[in-house]
Amino acid sequence: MKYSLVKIVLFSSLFLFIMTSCRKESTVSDFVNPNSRVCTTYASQFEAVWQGMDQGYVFWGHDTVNWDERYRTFKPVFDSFDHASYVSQAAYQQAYTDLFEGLLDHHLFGIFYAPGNNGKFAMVSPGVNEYEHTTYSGAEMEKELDALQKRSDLVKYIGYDATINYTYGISIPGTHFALIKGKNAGEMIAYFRFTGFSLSELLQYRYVLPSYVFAPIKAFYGTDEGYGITPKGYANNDSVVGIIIDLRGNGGGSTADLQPFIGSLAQQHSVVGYTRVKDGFGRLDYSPWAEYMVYCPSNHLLKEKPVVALVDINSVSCAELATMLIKGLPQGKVIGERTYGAIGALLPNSTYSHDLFYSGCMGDYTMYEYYRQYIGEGVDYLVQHVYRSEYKGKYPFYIYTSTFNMVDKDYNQVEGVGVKPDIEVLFNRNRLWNEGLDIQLERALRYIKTGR
Amino acid sequence: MKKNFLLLLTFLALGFGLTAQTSTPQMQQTAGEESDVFSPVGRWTLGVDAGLVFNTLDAGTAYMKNYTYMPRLSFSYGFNLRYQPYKWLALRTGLYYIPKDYVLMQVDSITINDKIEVFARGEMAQNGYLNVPFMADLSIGKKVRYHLFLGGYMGYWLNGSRSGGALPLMSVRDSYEYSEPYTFDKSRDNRFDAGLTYGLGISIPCSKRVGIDVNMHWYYGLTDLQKRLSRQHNPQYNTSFLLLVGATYTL
Repeated sequence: MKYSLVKIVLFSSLFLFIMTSCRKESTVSDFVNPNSRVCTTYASQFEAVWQGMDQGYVFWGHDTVNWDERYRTFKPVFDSFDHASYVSQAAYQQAYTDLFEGLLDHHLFGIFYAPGNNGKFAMVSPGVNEYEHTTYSGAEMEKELDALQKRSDLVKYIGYDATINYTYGISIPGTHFALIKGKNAGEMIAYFRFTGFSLSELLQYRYVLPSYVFAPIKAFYGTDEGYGITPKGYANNDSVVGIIIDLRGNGGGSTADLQPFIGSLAQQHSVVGYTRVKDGFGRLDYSPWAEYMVYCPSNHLLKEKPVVALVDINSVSCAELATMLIKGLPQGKVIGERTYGAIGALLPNSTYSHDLFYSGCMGDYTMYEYYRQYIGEGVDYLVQHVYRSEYKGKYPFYIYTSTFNMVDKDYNQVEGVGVKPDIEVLFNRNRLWNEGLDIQLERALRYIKTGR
Repeated sequence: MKKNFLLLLTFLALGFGLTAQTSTPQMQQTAGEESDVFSPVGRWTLGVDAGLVFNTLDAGTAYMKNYTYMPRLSFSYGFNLRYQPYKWLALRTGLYYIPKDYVLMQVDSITINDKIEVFARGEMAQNGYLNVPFMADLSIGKKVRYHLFLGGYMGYWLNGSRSGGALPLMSVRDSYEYSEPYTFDKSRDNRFDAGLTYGLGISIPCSKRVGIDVNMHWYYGLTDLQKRLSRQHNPQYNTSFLLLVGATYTL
């Protein structure tokens, strides 16, 4: 028995030794943070981009693109670039366009640069491709505002055109306020439109800029300090029976604007939806859903009244969050077209985004800053005078993509599909241009007047 | 491999230790003594045990700085059944509920507008497994018997929950807390569980049929918690140490 026992123990130990080697080897040691990855070839740039997206893109849970298939298709293409005597700008652009084609994230925007005699520059934006293929026409703000000002039932109009802002060297959104007659005598409907969620930033300049810049905001909210809606604001006026927040053509901006300018339309804090970030290297490794709450400031709408969000395909990002908030109000209604579908919030600085949440914007952030600074000079200037000297020998890239995956209050995916209106009214260019009639605004007014 | 080599040495040493013990004069008397005491040979023994489980998630973190998986202590229980064809060998199985929990911590800091912001979050992952071990139970000893268990196990990831929270981070994110059941995702989660078990134990007889067991088991998972979804994959494995105390009854 003694020798049997020894044999069994030895055999078992050997068995265990062999079996414990059966765990699959992890490949994570090969993973490199895309923010710090240095690329020196076309192929290594592709690898960094592919891996960064594989790990940090937040929509793999919903996206239908086969990212592994894209690797198998495009790895040989980028490999061949490294061995080619000449790579055309068109070929470089096409490779990246096709690599990103069809991805759900409508914020997604990528910049890629390959040095060389002429410097190759590629830019992708798959959401724009989807937008261009929709049947929605979008709006023409100038004509719509023109139609608004010519209304026979217009009581008051105060507008500030964003185009003037270049005088001051800061980014100022256009703001427009109007009072329109209601159904019954003495009743009015308050209308407020703004072109971007940078109102809080704008209000920081209220001691520098002339007061007429802030007049539309002050008329609607009763304050130009960004504290929500005071009793002096027309929105809180007893004669105002309904409110229209016109978000058509609103390109989004800072979520800091949501609380004072949209959250104040509620009587309590609003859960707009739920967000999550990546939580590991796996494509489906996510953090739990966290409530996305917009707080109601102490200065808010005192009396519940119908609030309509007018939206179109050009309502983007923060404008879509505002739409979701208004849609969730007891007397909220969304009228117009579907929104753009770029809803996942993000932090453009890749250090904040990818280094902290391991999701969202990645790559060389300075590349994006240069892009924003010099794109007005044209792409050729950017490539020849900025990137060429700055990134000599390097193959940098920057990808602007959502840090947070967001769904609505009912956990419906909204990225790429936008917020659907409660009452769909498609933009009608002919009637706007030929009759001066904004049928989307007309429908909003009808809803407030009739409740239908 | 280094870990496996040390493991092998440990078991070899253990094996030789047992050999040395079995060669002592006292152990030569077992055949004669079997007639004096109740012998479990050829009999079935039922047991229940419960105790602590210390689980670790083995997963790479690569560039996820300050991202740490920490082990967690939980409570496990179950029953076992063994058949003893020889005095020195029994075949053992059972059914155990084993929480394979772990804690994920991320503490980090970033500088925003020249101000250092601390970012911290933590999550406790609780994962309940039903495991069925199949083990060879090699034992020596006179009255008090010393056991070496070798074998494997199969199981199923039964349930789970996640609870945790994060500190606020300027305007980037509010603080939040959560505690919710874990939602299984068929395309991601591998609920089948299998691996190796081995361990050590002591059994103390209290009467002819009743005894007390103190066992230490090591459950070494060989199945990845996640299905392979990408050509780049980071496998995750559970490793659990169990310290169980129980009672047995020989039929």
